[in-house]
Amino acid sequence: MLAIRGLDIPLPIKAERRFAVRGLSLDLAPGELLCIVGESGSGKSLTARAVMGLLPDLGLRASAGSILFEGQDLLALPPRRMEALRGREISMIFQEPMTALNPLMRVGDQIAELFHIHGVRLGRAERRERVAALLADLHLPDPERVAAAYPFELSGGQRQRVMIAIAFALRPRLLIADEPTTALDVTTQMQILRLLKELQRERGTGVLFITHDFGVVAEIADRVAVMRHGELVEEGTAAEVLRRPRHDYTRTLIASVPRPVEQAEAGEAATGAPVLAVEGLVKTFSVRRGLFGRERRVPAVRGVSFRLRAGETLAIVGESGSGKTTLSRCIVRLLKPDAGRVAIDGEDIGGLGGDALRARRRTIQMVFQDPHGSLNPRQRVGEIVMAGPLAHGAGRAASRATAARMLALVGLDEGAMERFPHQFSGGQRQRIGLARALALEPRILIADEPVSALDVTVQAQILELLQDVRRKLGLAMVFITHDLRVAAQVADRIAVMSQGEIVEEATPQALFATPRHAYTRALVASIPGRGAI
Amino acid sequence: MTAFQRFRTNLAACVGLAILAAMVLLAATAPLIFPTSPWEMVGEPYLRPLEGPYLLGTDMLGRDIAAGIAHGARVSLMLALVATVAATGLGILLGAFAGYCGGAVDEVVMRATEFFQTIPSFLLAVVLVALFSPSILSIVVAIAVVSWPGVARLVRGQFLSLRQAEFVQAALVLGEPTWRIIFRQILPNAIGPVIVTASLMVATAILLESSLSFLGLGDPDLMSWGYMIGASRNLIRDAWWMCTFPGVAIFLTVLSINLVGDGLGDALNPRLTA
Repeated sequence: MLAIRGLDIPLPIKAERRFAVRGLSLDLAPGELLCIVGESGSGKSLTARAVMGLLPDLGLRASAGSILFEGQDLLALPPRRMEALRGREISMIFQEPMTALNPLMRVGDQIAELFHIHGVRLGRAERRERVAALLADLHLPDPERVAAAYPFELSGGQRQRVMIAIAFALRPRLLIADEPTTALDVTTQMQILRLLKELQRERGTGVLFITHDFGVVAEIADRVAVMRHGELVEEGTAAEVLRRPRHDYTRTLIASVPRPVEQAEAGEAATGAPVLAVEGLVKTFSVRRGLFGRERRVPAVRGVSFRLRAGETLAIVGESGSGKTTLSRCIVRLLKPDAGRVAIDGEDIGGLGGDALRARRRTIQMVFQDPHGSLNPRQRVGEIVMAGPLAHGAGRAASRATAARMLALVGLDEGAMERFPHQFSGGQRQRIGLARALALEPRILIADEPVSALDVTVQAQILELLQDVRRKLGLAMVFITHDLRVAAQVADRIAVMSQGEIVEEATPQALFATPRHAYTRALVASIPGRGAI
Repeated sequence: MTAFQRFRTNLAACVGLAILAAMVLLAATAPLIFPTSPWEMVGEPYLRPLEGPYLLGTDMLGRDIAAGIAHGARVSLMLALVATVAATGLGILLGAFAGYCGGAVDEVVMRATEFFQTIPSFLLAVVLVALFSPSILSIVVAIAVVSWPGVARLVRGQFLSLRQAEFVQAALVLGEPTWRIIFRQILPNAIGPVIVTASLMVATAILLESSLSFLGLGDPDLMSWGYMIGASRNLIRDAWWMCTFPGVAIFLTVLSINLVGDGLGDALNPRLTA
């Protein structure tokens, strides 16, 4: 049905490589689900957009090859004909369900608009019926209410379902899904994946599914195409590629998918007094709308307790809104807890302020999530890493020496000190962030989603580095993540958080084998590709 | 592309910079080109441009208009620059603390800016100058007092959003002192729009100073463009050149500063050039 032949998309002259997509050939049969897998910069999204005729407006266009959809070349099609195909024959789902819907239009009207655009004349009642039927197909509860809602009234998962409803409204023959579940929580992701698979089977739609996650591939793909640097590396049926990958790069990708390790080294360090003890921590935000509006109280963390010993890693796993980030911010005292204790070596820092707090900060340091936002773009890397020792009264020469040592520890050479953050890749920046935290020689490291913004292969390297550093320096680590797989790989114990509380705490092995809490069971069951890879 | 390269490719901004440079040069060399005081009656009154030895003619008292414009450039540019630096400095300081500290500090500063912004700024300037008797100092103070709230609000907004940035949170966790976080971490990242606003503020300050002088509220010892227009305004039908040339000088200077300011704005905002 879809045949891409020798597709070339050249990049602007100054870019780091000449082609975004080079000599790509792919086939998609009707009713088949093809996953294109690759890391950032592999050209997978551009390929999808080229099929849709929606290449970004940077002067990018295909220079060679053809994209044949049921025999006609989409690249040669005049814009008007392409418009008629889009939405009716070929439709697309985007990654970001928050921005893909018009915020000022009722959801039902946005679906109905599609009928109107493509000349499907329907009466008012009939249209409402079609919209309701579509929403019901997507297992949205109370379709009438959803149709009358504005996008902001729906959750991320619900919005993504509405997007899928729009995509399927005219029964297209080809659906392009560009990382449609990446922005969603795991449990929601699993529901959406199942839903997509079900609709694809029922209606015989061909689906081109773009993803970076081999777990997702294992879950839904019929066939897999692996892309790297704009070129096709390997292609085959899902079972084939997952079980017997032929290419080294595919093997690396699959091996990089985090998974629980059969380790039992936890026992060695788990003795002695806890370096960090959190008891009954509570944090409530109060939101007030306007000057005279009523105050609304949102409990973010409600009574969390845990202990951490030297050399131990505790992972805190939770979905968005579970309070895990607020908890981490309270522990490093970026936020002041409302109640409870945060005791380091038995001393409560929860109530400290001013200079007393500043002096204690060196024992507890943090690694942040965003490799781009966590380094000041106007400072050289040397300055960034030296900031900690300088703030705690070390001399410039001593701070510089420390910074060089720490950069070496995270695998960067001394020349890095003279450069600016934007000259480094995401993984390297995360190393710099780690060096900055380590420069104070802390005893406790809080890592807040340190790898969730990174490609899988880089993710694996950073996780390994964290483990390595932790072992060398005997650090205690709290590792905040939304990804149970990552947690299982790094942690000695996992605490599962939901709605501001820790619902279960166990070793990874125990957690996976016998999850006790219902929520934990749902989380474990939602890990994409569980068992297959 | 660096900010400088982006600025260079902007034709309008370069033209503005050229005009501005010429004005600054004129101001700097005024005592050399026109060594006699611009208040001196040098020739016959009512000489048209190029009638006699005076390029732009003379005014009703026989003073050289070209000399007035050159010396007026010194006054206008100097006053505007000093007033802008003062206003920007005050605005940055108050805006930074309001945005960084939030809470009560923020409330107080923001109510203060609203207080100043709801009073017509020119009237306030007139009242201030009249109150403290016209002098170079009172004019600078008046212009600065009516100009700082804009900068303060801008800086506050930048600080409010940057305070949430992860690199600022990281600095907090490292235990960096507050002043260092404000001036070393946040300010360098917030300064771009402030530079643009400040450059445009120079133009507004020139206009304000001219308007004050036009109303006779200029420093009586200093020749300025506004004074020249004000003094000759009732002769505009008989002697057009007396107020036209100072007017053109104001127009060109303000226009050039606006062009440079806009150019800076584009150059410092890399997102505009895809």
